[in-house]
Amino acid sequence: MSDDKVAIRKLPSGVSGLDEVLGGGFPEFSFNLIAGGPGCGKTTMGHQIAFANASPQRRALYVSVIGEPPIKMLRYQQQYDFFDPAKVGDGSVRFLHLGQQAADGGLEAVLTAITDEIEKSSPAIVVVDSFRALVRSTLAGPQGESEITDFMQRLALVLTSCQATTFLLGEYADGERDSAVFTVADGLLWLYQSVERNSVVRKAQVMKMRGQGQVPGLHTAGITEAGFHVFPRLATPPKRVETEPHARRVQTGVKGLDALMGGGIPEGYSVLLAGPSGSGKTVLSNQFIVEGAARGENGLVAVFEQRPNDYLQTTPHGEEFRSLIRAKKLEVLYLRPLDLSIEETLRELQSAVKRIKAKRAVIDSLSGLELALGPSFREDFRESLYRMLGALTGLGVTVMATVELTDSYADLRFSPHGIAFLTDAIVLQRYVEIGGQLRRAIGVVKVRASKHSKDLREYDFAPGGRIVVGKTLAEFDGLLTGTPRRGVRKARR
Amino acid sequence: MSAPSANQVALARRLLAVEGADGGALEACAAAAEQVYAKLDGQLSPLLGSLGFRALLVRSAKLLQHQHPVFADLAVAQSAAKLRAGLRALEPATAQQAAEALFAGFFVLIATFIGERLTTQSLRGAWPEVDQWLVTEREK
Repeated sequence: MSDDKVAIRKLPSGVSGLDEVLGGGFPEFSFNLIAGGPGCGKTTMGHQIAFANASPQRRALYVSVIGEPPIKMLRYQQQYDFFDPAKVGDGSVRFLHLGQQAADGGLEAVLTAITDEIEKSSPAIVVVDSFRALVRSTLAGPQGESEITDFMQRLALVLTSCQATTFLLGEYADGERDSAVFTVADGLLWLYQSVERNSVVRKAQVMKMRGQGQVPGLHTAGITEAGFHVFPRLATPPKRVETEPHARRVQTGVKGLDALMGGGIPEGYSVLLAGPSGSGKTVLSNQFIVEGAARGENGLVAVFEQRPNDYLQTTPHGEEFRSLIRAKKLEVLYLRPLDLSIEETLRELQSAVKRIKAKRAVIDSLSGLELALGPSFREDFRESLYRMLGALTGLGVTVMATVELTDSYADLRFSPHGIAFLTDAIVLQRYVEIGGQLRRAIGVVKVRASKHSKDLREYDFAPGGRIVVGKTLAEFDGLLTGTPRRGVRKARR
Repeated sequence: MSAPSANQVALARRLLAVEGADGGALEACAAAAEQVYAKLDGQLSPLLGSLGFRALLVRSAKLLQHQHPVFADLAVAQSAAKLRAGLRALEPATAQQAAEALFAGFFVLIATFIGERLTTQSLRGAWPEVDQWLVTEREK
């Protein structure tokens, strides 16, 4: 006897990001429950699945039982991009409303009507919406639970024996469970929608999917004119295999800084550029991008606080940036909605990286990114950032992220988020008071697994807005304390 | 409800003609109207639910009560058989006009909700030539 396993074909969901979470798609002939509260997107997802899989050879049957009137459902669903009236016209997608049967004959009448229709049209996909309302009305009776169990088993049998992949849509509150339904279902997908402060956050979770590994956890989701989409939760970034560590250094465009870092940034590293307001973080990060372009390395800048046009007008490198954008060597992404998830942000960044084959990326700034995230996502900011940096550097991109640093001479902290340890390198910019002047100093705090200079060097802005790093401030002690003292050592260049 | 377009009136007229109304005989007109009703019911009730389908036809009848007194009793629009019976009590020309107006009004309402494209797609199951008729009307 052969021990070959039965091959289970996986059907595309038609929902962006969901197949990845499901482990490749919905298993063919599976019996699935899509559950969630009102307005969480069950009906939209049900339609999306039906339209994605329907063809004249493989028909989809969309059964509505009790729920929103079909005429309104059709009115709204056809607004989505996936709704193809041609598939309704040629019978690829067939709608069937059984409200009357449910009202007159309950579960039995609905089951009969579904069975009749399935025998008549042999659909490959069956969606039953809203199954839950039907069950709820039956549960009120004394034999409710046993009747539902019986109905579920018969429905599952009918649908499976006619080789249909089935989706029951049900309105369930969080934590509510129907044992009969949950036991019979091969797949269980839960959709959530919650209001957090002023943000609406949608999430999806695959609680069960027989026969295949799914990506666990809650995944952020959204509904746009394209329909429902899922942003798969970021997996732990793969470990970098460094056979020849730091073989290539990436020049920052600031020679003095390259020297401080031991010859530049090791390629594929993430660098945290921390400094107070006006210290030149944006200017330095722009130089990093311009330098890359001169070396044939395309760049990506993600801004959160200003729109790209404003950003280009205020940065001294605006003109160079404009020409790089025209030459498709640079993209400036503006990501500012206030309920972004880190997954959405990363998806935009990854798409742009792939689009222009970027080798360098700037996130300007992490403070702006944190503000752009929905409140609940801010709570996981450190973890999310860790994953995001890992995903970007995993693509071979060298990342420079700026962060606003409040100058406190009593407290040396590289970021307000406690995220400094997440990056491979840290560059610190500070104001120092010397000779009655407010001057600027730069130093490299860490470059992972690499030697770097311990010097604190003065830097300034040259004409044209370029940062130029000058001499080591060797003749002073206590620069970071705010009360430097002139020492005996001489300045080194 | 906005007035039916020339296309919608022409479609209603065409469906009645296809189902046997010849513009002269009352019985043929009433039977054709019954047939059009039944076919629309067959196509659209699975989609909209029978209640939803009838609600639109009754609404169309209600809006026509002033022009067509036959619809003073809205029950006439509740089923194919009742429509046939209602029309049989009229003069042939009046019956034809009332039936055309009822179905044209119905097309206005359904197109308002689900759009003309989806409406046409749905009618194709009963009248496969519907696209061709509409093209012909537009060209006129």
